[in-house]
Amino acid sequence: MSELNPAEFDELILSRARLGIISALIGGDELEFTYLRNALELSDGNLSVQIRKLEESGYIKVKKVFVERKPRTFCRITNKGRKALVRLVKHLEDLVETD
Amino acid sequence: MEEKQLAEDLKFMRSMIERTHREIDPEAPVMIVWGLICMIGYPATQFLATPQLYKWMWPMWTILWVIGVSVTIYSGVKVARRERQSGLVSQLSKQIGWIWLILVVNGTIWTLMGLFKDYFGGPGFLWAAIYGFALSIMGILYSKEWLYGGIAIFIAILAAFVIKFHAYVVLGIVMGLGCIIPALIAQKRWRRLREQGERVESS
Repeated sequence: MSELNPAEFDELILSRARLGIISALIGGDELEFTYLRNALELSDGNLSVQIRKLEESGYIKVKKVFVERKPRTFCRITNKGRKALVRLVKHLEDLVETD
Repeated sequence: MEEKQLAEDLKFMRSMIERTHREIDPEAPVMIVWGLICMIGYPATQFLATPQLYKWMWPMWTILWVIGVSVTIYSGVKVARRERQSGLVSQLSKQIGWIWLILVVNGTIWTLMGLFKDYFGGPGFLWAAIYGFALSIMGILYSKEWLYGGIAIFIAILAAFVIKFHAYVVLGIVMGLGCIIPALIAQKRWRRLREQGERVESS
């Protein structure tokens, strides 16, 4: 199989952790920090870093709300993030099909 | 990057999307209540459709409708709260909520029409068709059991036209079962998913 050109891919979501976050958010509407941590089996620190990177790039929105008087962090994918994932999936599928 | 890695990444993405897309509470108690309403209301309609008993048609359906809508609203609020607590607010859950809203509004209009127009005979079949259509959409969006329930209702509508004499009894039973059976199957699957999730979290 020919080597892929990394420049063709969105490096931001190519990392497994961030890919998992974005994919999970496409399926759900809003996902809470703890849910993502358990689903993706990441540590608190690692997940925080990944979420911050995605938020800074405009791929997700983060909001903090109180649920039963406890602060909770919810994430939601933006249109930019959705389009980025769709583009990446199409790209990967094309590459897998051509090999 | 190799092909194996690509394929694994795609598989990983799809599994995450599928998981969060489908992990919703099927609200079985609501579906069971509506199934029972159909199984009581439709056969009762068959027997009330006489000049002496027709006056009980509207009170019966109004009471059943109020029970159904109350349970639906209560369950909707409870599920929304539970979703917030669990950390997963699902898009699919909202889509199904919209289907329920359309059904409830439609049914409320039919019930009110009965109040003002004394008109309960014909809408029964139309309502069954809408109900079957809504279950089919739920089946497409969420889980195939609902689709089978919807198809069964459409078949029952056709059978009811043929049987005629006990049309509403047939419709009521099939509509009821078309709702209750998928609800029990979906609830069982949901409980199993939750138990698996709890075992992963506690390990």
